[in-house]
Amino acid sequence: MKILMVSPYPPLRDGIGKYAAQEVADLKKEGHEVKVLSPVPCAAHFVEDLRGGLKLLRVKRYARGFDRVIMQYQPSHYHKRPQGMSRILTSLAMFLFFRGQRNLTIVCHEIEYPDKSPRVWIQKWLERLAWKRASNVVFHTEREIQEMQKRLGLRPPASVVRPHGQHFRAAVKEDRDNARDRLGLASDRTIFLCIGFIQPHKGFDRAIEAFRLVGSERARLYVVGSTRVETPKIERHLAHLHSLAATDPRVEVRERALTDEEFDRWIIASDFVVLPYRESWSSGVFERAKLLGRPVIVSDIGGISEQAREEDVVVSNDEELAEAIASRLGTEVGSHERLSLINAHEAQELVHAEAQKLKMEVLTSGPSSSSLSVPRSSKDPSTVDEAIAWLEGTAAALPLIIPSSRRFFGPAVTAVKRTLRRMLRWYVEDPLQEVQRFHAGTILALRMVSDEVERLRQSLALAEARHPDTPIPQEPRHPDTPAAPEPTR
Amino acid sequence: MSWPVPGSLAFVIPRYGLEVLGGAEFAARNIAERLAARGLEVEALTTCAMDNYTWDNHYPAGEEVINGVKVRRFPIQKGKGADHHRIGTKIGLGLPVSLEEEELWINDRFRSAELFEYLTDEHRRYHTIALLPYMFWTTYACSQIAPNKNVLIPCLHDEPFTRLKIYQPVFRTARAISFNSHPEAELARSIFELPERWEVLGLGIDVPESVDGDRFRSKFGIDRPFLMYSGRREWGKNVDELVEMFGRYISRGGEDLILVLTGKGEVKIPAQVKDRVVDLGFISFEDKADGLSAALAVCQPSQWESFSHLLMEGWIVGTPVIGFGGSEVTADHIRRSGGGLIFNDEVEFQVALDLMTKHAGMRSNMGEAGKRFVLENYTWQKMIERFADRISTWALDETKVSVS
Repeated sequence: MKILMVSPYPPLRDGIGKYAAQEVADLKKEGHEVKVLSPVPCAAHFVEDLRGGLKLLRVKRYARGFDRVIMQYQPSHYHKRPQGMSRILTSLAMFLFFRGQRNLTIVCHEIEYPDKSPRVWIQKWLERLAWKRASNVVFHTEREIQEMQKRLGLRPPASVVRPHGQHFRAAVKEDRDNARDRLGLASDRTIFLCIGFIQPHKGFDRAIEAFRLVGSERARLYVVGSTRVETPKIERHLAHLHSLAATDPRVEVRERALTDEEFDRWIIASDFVVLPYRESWSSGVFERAKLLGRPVIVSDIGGISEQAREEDVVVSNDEELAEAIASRLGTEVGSHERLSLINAHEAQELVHAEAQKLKMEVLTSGPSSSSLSVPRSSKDPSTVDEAIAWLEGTAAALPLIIPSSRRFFGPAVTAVKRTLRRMLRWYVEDPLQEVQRFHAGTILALRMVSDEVERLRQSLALAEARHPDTPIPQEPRHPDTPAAPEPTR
Repeated sequence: MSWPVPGSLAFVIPRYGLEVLGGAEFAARNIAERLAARGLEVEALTTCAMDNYTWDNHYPAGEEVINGVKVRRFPIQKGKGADHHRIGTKIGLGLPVSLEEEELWINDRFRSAELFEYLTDEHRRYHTIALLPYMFWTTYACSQIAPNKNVLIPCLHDEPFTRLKIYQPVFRTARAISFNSHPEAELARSIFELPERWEVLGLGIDVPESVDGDRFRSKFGIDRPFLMYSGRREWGKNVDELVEMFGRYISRGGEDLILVLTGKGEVKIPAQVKDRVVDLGFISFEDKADGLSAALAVCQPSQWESFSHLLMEGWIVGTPVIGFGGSEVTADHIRRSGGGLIFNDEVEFQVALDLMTKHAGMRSNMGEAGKRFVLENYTWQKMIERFADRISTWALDETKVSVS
């Protein structure tokens, strides 16, 4: 049979592309002739932009001469927007294509549903029609079918659930010791692994936070993968991962683009794979871990729980995640760590609240009413008046007044500006003073927040270093900060 | 003679053929043909392109045998090029680009789906897949198919593209890497995480059976002492700059010299030096060897070299060189051999040229030193022995790892 696979494809480092490549390999082994049409440039036989407008219908041109078409459906390859006029057009294209293309199998990796707003009724109607007309739809979990039933009010007539990893094959044949040796990992550690493209919805930060609560010296957590796009959000997330990892020497973030072999090698080298997703319907990484015989700790999200085996653990929140990690190590999330977490969390809330209070006090009441007093060096300002004096005296002060442009313009222009400022001084003096007070108060408040956070960090460090059975002594605290509540037992 | 493990050696390279010009392409064909001449099974997996500017399909797809090497050609699909140009500009300017942009950049120039498909389906035929050069789609894509079989021959230059993330796994996961020179190896070590197995295997050059400088002079009508450059005239080779520097050298009362250029491509010759610069275009290997032997010195002005055939070709006929120090490979060869002078700017070029012109004894000594250097290290015979031995050893090592 001649089959046209519509999908991204290697050498792109793309999960769906890898999925498609493995399916193509299996189809070829069965004796079929397979060609690939990709929406993005890669090693596919044909490349065609299928995104937006009615471009999806271009597939029909390629599909002539093929007995069967298999489409790996991921919305971003075909739709430019989740909603709006653009989406109405692409939904129309979907309907026309699903209805008109014979012998079409659609493998759903993700589906975007319109929200409940009445404005999107056309889109919803078209997509409902499209899925109704789809002849063969493959889902990876039953939960996804239920979701379509719930959101569009239908179950596609010929829908089946197929294991996500049906076509997966191991890329390397190694045992744990070989894999660790090749990766330079210690053989005597219990290794937890988060692996894949680094994106906020993967929840790798949750894994680090949970791991930090488990005090086991023999455990290690590795976060391995690369970013695919570099948006500010993803860059901040990556920086956040690094800063979290820096607080625990047992945690390491290894940022690199992985080959298929390295990907499998890491999984083989690990003892447990941790997938604390915030969003997902099903997981290819989960399937690879299953293929390679590694148990998984995974979020109960989407249809992922359907992929779980007996040896896997499905967790619903951060506490269960920490407990799952601890139980794999034969230990518990220590009571002192939990205490520290509760105290740190509540203390942080208090710092925010207190800082807000201080800022408001400074801004509304003026410098003389400030009752702030924090132990600090004699050079640092402890009142608003001192802060203003400090600002006026230091070169590193915030620019309160538009600086003289002496270095950029001629002396004549500078003189004119000086004259103007003198003439306008009576008008701008009051607002200027308010601005100064605001700046000074901000600096002061930020300094106090910083001091408070530092004090809390030291308190946490002390608590973590302490023997769990020894009661935690009372640390000196700011006189205005209320005492933290005792943990409930 | 046969490989110690089952299967063939495959060279994966974007262009291959008798008419194909280029250092990496020349190297691949020479290594493949010499291995085949020893009875070793070798194939070349390549595209139908001949020209590395247009990347048009020139050769027919299919199989042929060239000098004992089975060549499998696959058609090229060209991208629209807009993304390649846009993102390439960002890369050239040193601006950050994401992995997604890098993938778009490399996939938008040219691809060969059939070559990728063939190697995916048939890689088991080969015990080793030698990929060169590093930068092109064929290496980037095909390196992912069976990385444990990859021997990378990167032909690396210090250019912005080496810093792209897409190439990191290509180097890191190869079975082994063969470098053309020590500076190339040092550069790679500074940029990439290398596998345990890597070595400077170098390249080789053909030793002409005989050379006759007078034959060259009479054939092309050159009766004055001359400085010679032979090679492609394209961006990075600095041929236009050489002509300009030579022109200024002459106008400042330099020695009675002319500059002889051979090779493919256009070169700008200012009107005021048209009588002192002779462009012979593409000439035969024999004529080139004759010309190099008749030259007073060979000049290598290129900044980006991974081996520099021109230096070796000049030295093997006993001619000293003047090489641009901006290429660490050129400078390293000259330092190691003692076969010439290095210049880093125009003033040094003029001084070096003056010295070469005025001191026949020094020229002769340098030429002899260069010749010894080439005969000891870079004849094809020596190079092929090293190469075959290493490929066999690495393949055997990999077999032992797989079995264990």
